[in-house]
Amino acid sequence: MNWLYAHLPHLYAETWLPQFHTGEPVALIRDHNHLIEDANDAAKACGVDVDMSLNTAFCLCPGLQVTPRDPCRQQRALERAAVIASRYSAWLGLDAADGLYLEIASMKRLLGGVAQIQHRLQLALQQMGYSAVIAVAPQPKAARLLARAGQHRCCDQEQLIQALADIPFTALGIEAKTELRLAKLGLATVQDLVQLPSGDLSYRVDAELTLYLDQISGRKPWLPPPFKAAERFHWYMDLEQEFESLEPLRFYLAQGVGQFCRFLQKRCLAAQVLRLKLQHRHRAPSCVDIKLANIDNRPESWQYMLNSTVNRLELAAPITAMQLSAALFEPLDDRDLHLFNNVSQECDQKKTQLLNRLSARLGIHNVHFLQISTDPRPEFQTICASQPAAQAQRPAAALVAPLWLLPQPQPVAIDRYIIQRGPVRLTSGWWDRNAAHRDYYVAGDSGLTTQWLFRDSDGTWYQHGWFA
Amino acid sequence: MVGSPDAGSRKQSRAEPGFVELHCISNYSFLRGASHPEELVHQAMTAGYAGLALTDECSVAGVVKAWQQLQQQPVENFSLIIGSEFRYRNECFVVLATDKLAYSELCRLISACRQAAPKGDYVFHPRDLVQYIRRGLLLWRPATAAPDYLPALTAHFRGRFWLLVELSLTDADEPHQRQVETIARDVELPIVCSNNVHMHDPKRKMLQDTLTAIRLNRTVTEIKQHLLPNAENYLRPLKNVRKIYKQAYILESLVIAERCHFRLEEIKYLYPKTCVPAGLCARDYLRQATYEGARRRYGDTVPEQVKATIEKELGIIAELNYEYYFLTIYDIVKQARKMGILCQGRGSAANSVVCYCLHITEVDPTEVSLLFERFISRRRNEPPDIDVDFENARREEVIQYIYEKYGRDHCAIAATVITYRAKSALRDLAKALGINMLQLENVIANYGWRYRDKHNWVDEVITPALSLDNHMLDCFKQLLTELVGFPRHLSQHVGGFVISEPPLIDLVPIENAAMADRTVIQWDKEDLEALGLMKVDVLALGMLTALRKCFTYISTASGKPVAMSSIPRDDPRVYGMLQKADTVGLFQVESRAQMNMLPRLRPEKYYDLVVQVAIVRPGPIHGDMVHPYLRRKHGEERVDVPLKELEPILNRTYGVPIFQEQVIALAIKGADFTPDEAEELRRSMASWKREGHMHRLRQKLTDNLLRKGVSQDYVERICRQIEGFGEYGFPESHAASFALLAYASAWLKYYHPTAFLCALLNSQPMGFYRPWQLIQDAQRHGVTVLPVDINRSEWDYTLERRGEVLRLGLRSIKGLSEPAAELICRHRPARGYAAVEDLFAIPGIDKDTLETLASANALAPLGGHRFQQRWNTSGFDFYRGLFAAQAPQGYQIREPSRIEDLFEDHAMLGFSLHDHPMAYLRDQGVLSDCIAAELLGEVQSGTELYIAGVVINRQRPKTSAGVTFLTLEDETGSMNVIIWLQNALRQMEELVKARILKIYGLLEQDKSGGVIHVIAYRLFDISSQLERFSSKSRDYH
Repeated sequence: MNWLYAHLPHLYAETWLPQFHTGEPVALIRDHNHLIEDANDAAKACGVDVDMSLNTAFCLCPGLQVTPRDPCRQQRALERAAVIASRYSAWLGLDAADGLYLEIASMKRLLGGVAQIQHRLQLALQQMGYSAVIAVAPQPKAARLLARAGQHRCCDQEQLIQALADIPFTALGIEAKTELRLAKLGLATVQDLVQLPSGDLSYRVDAELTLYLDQISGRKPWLPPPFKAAERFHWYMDLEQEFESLEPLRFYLAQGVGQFCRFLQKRCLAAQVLRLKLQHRHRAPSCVDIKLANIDNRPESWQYMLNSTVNRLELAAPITAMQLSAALFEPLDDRDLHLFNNVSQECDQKKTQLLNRLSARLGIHNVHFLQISTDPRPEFQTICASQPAAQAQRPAAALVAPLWLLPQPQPVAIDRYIIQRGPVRLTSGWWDRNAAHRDYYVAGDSGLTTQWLFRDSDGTWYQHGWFA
Repeated sequence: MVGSPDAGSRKQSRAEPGFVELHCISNYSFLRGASHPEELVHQAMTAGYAGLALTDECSVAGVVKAWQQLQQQPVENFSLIIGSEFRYRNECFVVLATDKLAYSELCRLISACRQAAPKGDYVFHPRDLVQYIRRGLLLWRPATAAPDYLPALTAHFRGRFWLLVELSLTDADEPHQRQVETIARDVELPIVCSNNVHMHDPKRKMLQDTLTAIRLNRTVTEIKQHLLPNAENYLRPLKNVRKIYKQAYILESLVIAERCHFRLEEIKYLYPKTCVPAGLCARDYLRQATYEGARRRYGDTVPEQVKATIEKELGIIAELNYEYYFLTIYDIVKQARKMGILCQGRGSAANSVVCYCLHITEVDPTEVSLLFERFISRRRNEPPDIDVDFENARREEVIQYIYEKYGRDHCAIAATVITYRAKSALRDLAKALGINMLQLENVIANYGWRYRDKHNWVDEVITPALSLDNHMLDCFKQLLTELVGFPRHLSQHVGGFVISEPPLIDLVPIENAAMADRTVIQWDKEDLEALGLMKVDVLALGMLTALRKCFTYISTASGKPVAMSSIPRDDPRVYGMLQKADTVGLFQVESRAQMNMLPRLRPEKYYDLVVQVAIVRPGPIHGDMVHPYLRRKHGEERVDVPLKELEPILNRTYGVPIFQEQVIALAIKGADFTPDEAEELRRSMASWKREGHMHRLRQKLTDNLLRKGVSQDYVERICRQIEGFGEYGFPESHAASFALLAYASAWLKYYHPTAFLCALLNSQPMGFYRPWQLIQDAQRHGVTVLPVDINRSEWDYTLERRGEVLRLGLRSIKGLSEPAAELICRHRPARGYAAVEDLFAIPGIDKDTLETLASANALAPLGGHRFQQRWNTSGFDFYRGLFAAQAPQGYQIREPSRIEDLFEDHAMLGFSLHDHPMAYLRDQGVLSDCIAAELLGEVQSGTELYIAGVVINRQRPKTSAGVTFLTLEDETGSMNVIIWLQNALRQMEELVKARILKIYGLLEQDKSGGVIHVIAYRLFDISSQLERFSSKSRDYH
């Protein structure tokens, strides 16, 4: 079995920092201790180094742009690289934050040999903007060691033993305290370690290190856990002739949507968006999102939304092919599995159905979830959000506002009002440009209405709402 | 900080019934109150209030500041009431002190609440009020109608209990007032109104919101629900108060204020009397002790002049009733001596012959011209300030003695108020406003605080680079100017002890300090001074520990007792050493700047050393007094005193003012300052540059001196010198005390270098140099240093061969704990350990300890090199446990190379006894063009050359502004390097990162040949050269 290891030392920066390969000095920092984790050539030219403190780096390079590393984005970057690499191996494993294991023995014949695979992967990664060190060895951890030591090579077992003589043990990536123990014994290379009586190394230095070395040399087996790419739904239909309307194609689209729902239900997933891509002969494809107000996996919801979307759609050109795709899914709530909550479940279903219908009729961008904010200014206390709030927060109890609030306060002439209660003072919001300095009053007018008025800092009176 | 209250508005408001604000917190309710106590008092007076109660949360930390504001600008019929608020769930209780006893009760309640909680916090339950408050008044802002403790409170506080109605123009006001009135009816309690004041002016609302965010460690926009809805919690104008509250409630505040007649000036401090033996009166005992001491100091016949001075001083002491103060210090110092702890007074106490006779200080005032009035004066109504240094290692024993002798209720350490400074304010505000912290750190790192004008730093630091939101940046700027100077928390003073005859807890609340067994009061040094409370500074000084240890070593080796008193004065050989700046390890004169000055000043006698200690300070340097002094001392310039009447003041320093005392005397004699103005000048030197009352003094000084014919240039220099003293100045008395220790350390280094080295090393951490620098310096002076040895080394460094050689102690090994070392020494067989197996048998020993010893080469006597020994000891767990009977398997580990030995020595000890990285590089031919440190003296001044060395000291401002000083060291000595701004900027990377530097530059040598430095042109980082020769890269140092 042959294993390939690709080390992507600048994976994060190359994925998320577009300016990394420009002339601007850029560095990545570890968020917890503010030490430099990666720096581009421009920053290095100013003296910025990995593991340097941020303050020293700023001293050396005042124009340095720094970004803290986000572990979630790190994982996403690695998975993105894994998807590219998965074209060259049926067994792919992720390693730490920036490495990939690829089993390539079984792919040699298909892809034209180890060197060819190595070359093609390098090229594919390069096209994506990644710099990589790729090594091949009989064992996955041996390939890893070679790549992380910067050795862009392909070794058999014999060559591996020779190569270990030149590799410092620091390339093993073991704990710093173990590295220190080894250094204090006068050991320097991986081969120095391999030559020690392995039982002795285990109790004298570190048992895990012995296991690690055995896995490198192949004395003990180890295989990386296989990486499974995220699920995607894909449905495609090539049309034998050009269609100027979607109307005759509704039936096929409904089939596609049906497949999509079965795909979701089989995996206990739900989705909110399904993308419809329409191919044209003489122009770029057009895309339409079929979007629900809430996640769902029932055919009736999706069919309804499909019909509404198709009804509204105007084709830019005749179509030659149709494609439905989705990549973002969410697991269904646990409550669906409960036995005796049919009522609430039914209620939820009805709510979702209603929301979806509203979205279909009004357009998804015109349907909002109301939320309460903690801002003391009444006009900022109700906000519209695209998602429902997880938990409602209580706003500051400064004002008892009427239910009917005007969208904009309206100037009024105070002489036609009789003040009934007040003032309640509001002085807040200095943190944005809408600071409020108002005295609120409850006032009645001649028409027997009760209104909510305020006087602002320059003495102007406004109506802000209706009580009755 | 605040101007004078507007008399007009007070007068106008007098027509209506007055109002007293009874619930007001200042910024001493940390991160809640948004105004200084002084601002609150000033505003209350200006707004025409009849009084103000300062009621910080479980604290009276701000009351002295408020009281001082009142003292400065007294206003008729305005009363400052002292109280404190306590919060329990959503309820708020305010306790007000009616009289001195009630104030003591309040202090005890605060102390109890504070001491029941970790530092900075408190634990309170309403039943504590019943337990502690018997005379004080209670105000209660209820949150619930009938809490279970209410009957107990109404019964206990009958006639002393009010309900608080606090309306802040919110919708909650109405139910709150209704609830208060219902309870009042139900339990028959009177109602009083207050504004629950958090700020003196509504403009501070923004700061108050931000403080809340800082307290909750979130951004302002994340905690909107915790912010006050409006800015009504301030000292409202009286017309607003009258509009909002019923008159009956307002009048009730006057009734309460009438009952609170306690004033802070009633706190009468009583000195502890425990220090006087039974049957003696303090006055007689002090006289007796002074004369006994005088006979010890001067022999049986005390000189008449000394007697006269003693009598004069005793007279003033008696007149001001300071006998107990002197006797308390005498008692502490006497006890320290009894315990064998070296101590010495410093500071202005050295002006007193009584202190000298009582062995509190060591400077003979007849030898140095000192001013007793600087120490105590009839005019200054404040207690004298005696600071005593004790051995740092044993100061805790003295502190515990004070606790034991005077009682824990009677003494505590003064507080230090930690206030917001530029950087802390920037960081906290940025967090609260959600400003990009990374960018802010960049600005902070590159701003160069030391070299910028301190006045417009806010505009320079807050730039659009921090945020694109200009509005937020404007808020940031405004908040920054307001927040700087705000108290952040209380910490403990370095050694300021307050001791009192009555329990201290009756004067001021005592709370827990961060350290175990330590308690700290809520007032700081300035508060104590303002109230006339005695403070003794029990300070720690590392050099005293070293001196005492050195005396012990010499006495043990020679069999003759040696002490401070046995050191001969004015030894020319010792001064010869000082003149050569051979001062590594000495007290006060070992810094780079002092070393530069020594060959120029060339001290020949004690007083020269006094000047030497004081001259390298901002005062004389800013005043350009250094060079005139040097020229005149060496006869290169005529001694010239600008005015005849200044001759007695300036003659001893060749007409050049060096000391703070001289400048003050110059102001009195030369510029006709009144004694009060001179005193004001002394106290406020720090604010010399600012506008305000100091400006007036400055003008007077300038005008009067110019009028008398003193040159404009001289006057300007004096002004700059005063400004410098404000930053950090040494009074003459202080310099005189320190010069004694400097001389003693120099004498010991010259005559007993091995013992002195041993003492310094055993007193670490202290001083300017690290152990390896001290050892290398001593080795260059011929001291033999033996390596650390498992069979010979103790924990401490020790002397062998009758004190002639030094043996490294086990404490020199990094990572070895004292208990582990103690195990090794305790179980060491008489013939020593013979093999690693003997070490395995030590009960309680562990693998890490043995491996550490092996790497430090301490196991060399057992045979084999350090790598082999490390391998052998690494089998400890295996051969000590299940396989104890089995002989360890041999495995041959290769021998370390020279460079590996060097690395390991540096990693484990911090130095190498017999090798040096630079010697190694020289042997490898890397430094063929570099001149060694010991040969620099032979190179002609003005020669351009290469030098190279390990960077041992880098005095570098955080930014590129200013000069950088480097000290390099090679195997023959150290070298001073100066890098000018442009070069530093150009080669910042080498400057910041290099551990070994090669420098091309110009050698400069002064005429005396004593001061040599190299002005750097080019820097080369050759740190990697060492790594090139090693099989692995490792951090050096």
